[in-house]
Amino acid sequence: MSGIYLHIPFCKQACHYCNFHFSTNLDRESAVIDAICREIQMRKDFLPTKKIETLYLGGGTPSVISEESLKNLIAELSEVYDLSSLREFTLEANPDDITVENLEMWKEVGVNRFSLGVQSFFDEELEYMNRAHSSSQSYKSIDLIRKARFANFSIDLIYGGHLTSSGMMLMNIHEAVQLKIPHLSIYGMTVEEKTALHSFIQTGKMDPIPETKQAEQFSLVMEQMAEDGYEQYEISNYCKSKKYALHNTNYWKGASYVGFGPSAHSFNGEMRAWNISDNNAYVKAIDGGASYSKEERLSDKDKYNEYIMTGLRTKWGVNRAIVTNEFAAFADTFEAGLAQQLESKCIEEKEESFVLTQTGKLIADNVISELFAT
Amino acid sequence: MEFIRNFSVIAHIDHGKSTLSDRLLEHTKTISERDMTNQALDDMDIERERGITIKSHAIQLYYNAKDGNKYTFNLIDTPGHVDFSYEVSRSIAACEGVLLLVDASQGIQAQTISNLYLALEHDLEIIPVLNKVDMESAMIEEVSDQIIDLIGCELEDIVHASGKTGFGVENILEEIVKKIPAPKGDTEAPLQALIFDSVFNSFRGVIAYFRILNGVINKGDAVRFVNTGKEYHADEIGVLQLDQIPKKKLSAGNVGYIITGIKQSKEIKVGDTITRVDNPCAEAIDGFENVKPMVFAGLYPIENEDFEDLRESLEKLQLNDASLVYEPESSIALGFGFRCGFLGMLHLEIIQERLSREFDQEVITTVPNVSYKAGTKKGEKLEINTPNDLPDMTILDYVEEPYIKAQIITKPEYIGSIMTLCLDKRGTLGKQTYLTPERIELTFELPLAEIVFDFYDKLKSISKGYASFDYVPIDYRKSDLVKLDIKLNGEPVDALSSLVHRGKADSFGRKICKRLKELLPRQQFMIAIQAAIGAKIIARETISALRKDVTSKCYGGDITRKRKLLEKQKKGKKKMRSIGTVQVPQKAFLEVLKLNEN
Repeated sequence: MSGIYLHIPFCKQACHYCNFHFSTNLDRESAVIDAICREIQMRKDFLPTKKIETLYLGGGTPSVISEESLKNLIAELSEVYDLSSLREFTLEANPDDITVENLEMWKEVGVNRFSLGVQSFFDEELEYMNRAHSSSQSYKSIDLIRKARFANFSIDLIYGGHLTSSGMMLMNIHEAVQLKIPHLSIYGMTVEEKTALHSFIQTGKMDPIPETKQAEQFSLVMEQMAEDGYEQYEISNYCKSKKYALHNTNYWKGASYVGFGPSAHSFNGEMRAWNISDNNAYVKAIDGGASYSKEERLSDKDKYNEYIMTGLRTKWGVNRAIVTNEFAAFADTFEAGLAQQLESKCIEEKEESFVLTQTGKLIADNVISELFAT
Repeated sequence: MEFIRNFSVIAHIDHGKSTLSDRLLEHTKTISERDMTNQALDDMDIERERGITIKSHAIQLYYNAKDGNKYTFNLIDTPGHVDFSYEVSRSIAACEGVLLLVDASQGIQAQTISNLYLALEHDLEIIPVLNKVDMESAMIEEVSDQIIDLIGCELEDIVHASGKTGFGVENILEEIVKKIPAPKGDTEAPLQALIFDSVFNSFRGVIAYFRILNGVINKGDAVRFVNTGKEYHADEIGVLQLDQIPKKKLSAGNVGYIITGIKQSKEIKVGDTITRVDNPCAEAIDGFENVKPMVFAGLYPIENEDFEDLRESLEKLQLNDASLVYEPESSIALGFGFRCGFLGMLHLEIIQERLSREFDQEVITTVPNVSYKAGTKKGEKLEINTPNDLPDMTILDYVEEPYIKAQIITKPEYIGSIMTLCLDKRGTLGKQTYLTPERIELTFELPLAEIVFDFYDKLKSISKGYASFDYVPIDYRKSDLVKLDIKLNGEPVDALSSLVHRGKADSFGRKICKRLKELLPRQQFMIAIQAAIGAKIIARETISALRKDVTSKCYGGDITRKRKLLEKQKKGKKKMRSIGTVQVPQKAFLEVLKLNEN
């Protein structure tokens, strides 16, 4: 299984909480797309295979780029890779970009799944986040996606923001359930550095978000989603009828992927690489034949730690046999940490794997680091 | 002997003693400008950085005076901190005069005064020097008045100088010739030399510095150190310039060094008398004391397996710092370590810092305590250097704690708050003396134990830095002492136990619990922090369990960053000590003592 990620570093406006790499200056679109096309050629030998199963366009907001740009990118990819057995082609989109015309065009290039940035069904929350869309646009976009016969899509929701009460959060989930959304990503509002939200808190314009509120709402989300019949297959991801996000699931299962575009990451089983995250510097480096990415070769310890970290975050958990066979050097570390976390009921055994309990999920980072090798 | 002058410099920290000493060395061409590193006399890095002198030093200069004679000056540099007052007193005993160096912008400070009193006790000639007169903030008239009031000199006796520019150095040198008397002594009498310092040299062993009061010493003499009773062979003697200059013979009035092949500093006691075995002196020089450590604390390696390394490092430190004492002890919380005795809190800090710098050894220090004396009902007498030594209350008859006499010099506006502080620290006011209308000297008697914790910092903050402080130990007095234990989830942490006065136990216990609450990271479960005297809990704080600690997004681009973050988290945990199930960061053992109330 191998996947491709394309990073489209443009947005109409900046959300207050977002620290992903993007630019609101769309004038540079063609220059950046040209550079990405060239990178596709330059990196063509990165993956151990040419056969691609998943394709993911993220950002930024990939739904803002033109038809021409999108087609150029897909054409470039088709030249290098075998996309004939593509199982999932996801496009991240904002509700305000979903139109009948766009949907037709996306279907034409092969998109078969959307990840829709709904975030909340309350307008005051959308305004607080500085989102470009309204809640009515969200309802409309979901309706249009259905009408265009896209069966598979996901929406993002955010809990634990300054305005979000537990009631509002449950209402958001209720709306999603009513709309029969097949897949949801539900994230806690995270105050990342170098975001507007961070500076509001630093300068005292807003209070820090209390940990108890986040904990309470995360617990409620997990309980409510279970009650509504969704499977929590990763810390922040829920779906019905096993409609797992294949591309993302591959990240957690250690599959290889190549990422193109500013700030995109790649992994081929042995090393991880990451591109420059500045649009202009990226274009300049690609044009001038200069280095545009950094890389790190993974040690056995790194691989073990990544296995623990990504595995424990999912419902598939970590497996003793895999640790014993593939990471024998760290088996003692694993067993010591495991025993302690079983005792404190943060981890439980399920179908020959070890997975986080509800308690464990709330403090997943703490639990994971207990099993890490140093 | 007529052309010898032995003197030292008395000054408060930062008043420019080392810089001025450097200028004296330069002016007399003892040291060329090319060889000049700042503060040539301060050998240790730590001395240069902190701008203080930890060990005494001595150096010989030659000066062609205006009277046409060539003089030999022995400049004996003294340590500049209260912890080392005994060493200062021995250095002063080796001199006939002192330069009283006062910073023109800061005026006289407590430490200057206590050292000055030492000099006056020894009837030394005092040459007042007003330093840093070139600074804009210099208060020449006011500080001159202070000096006149203090030593009763005339205005014209005060030499103006600037260590920075070298201004006044010539005048100082002339004053030394004119005012400081030449040493007296009988070269025909039996040898009597005062050891005022010793240094350790890894090639040559311990080198003792001495001043000959009477008689003559020759290379190859069989010598006896009167107080220790040990005999040695004078392998090498000589005088101290920037390097050691070996001599065949040194006679009364001179300052020099002796090498006898002694390997450990603790064999040489500062203040001891050197005499010759074949013609010994009738009595030792007055004033010898066995310096005893005043403050004790446990030092533990961070990793248990580094215990032997720590022992070696302490051994090496003791080679050139005889005032450090240590013996092995063990703690349930910290494993194997050493109970170490120090001259004072600065000395403790210096040892900690030297372990880190010179031996790359980070240590955990337990709550320091002073040395108590206890008696049991059976009449046994005990020395209590660690909380665990305190006998059970049922057999304990009495405890005595060391008291000090403290001198504080400050501005009148701070008297009120300083009195409150000292009374709160169980002090009693002795006398108040106005040195000038703007400077007052307060004398207190205080338990030493009260100085060990947060006294300096508080004094500094309530006086906005305008108070200087010095002390001398006076005696032991009865005390109502209890052992305060700290428990984490019910488990006592022996390394955090302390001995406190009963009247202070409640507030001290509360402060420690509060401070620990700030220092301990939250964990997967709740942590109860308790302070207890015996079975009685006197304070409690609770650290709530970790509620939410989870990254929301972990996709392709987040994996590396996230892994590194969690690895760091795990490394932090590895540096902690487990007390039962509770993880305690090493820094908590150190930081818990910084009990500032704000």
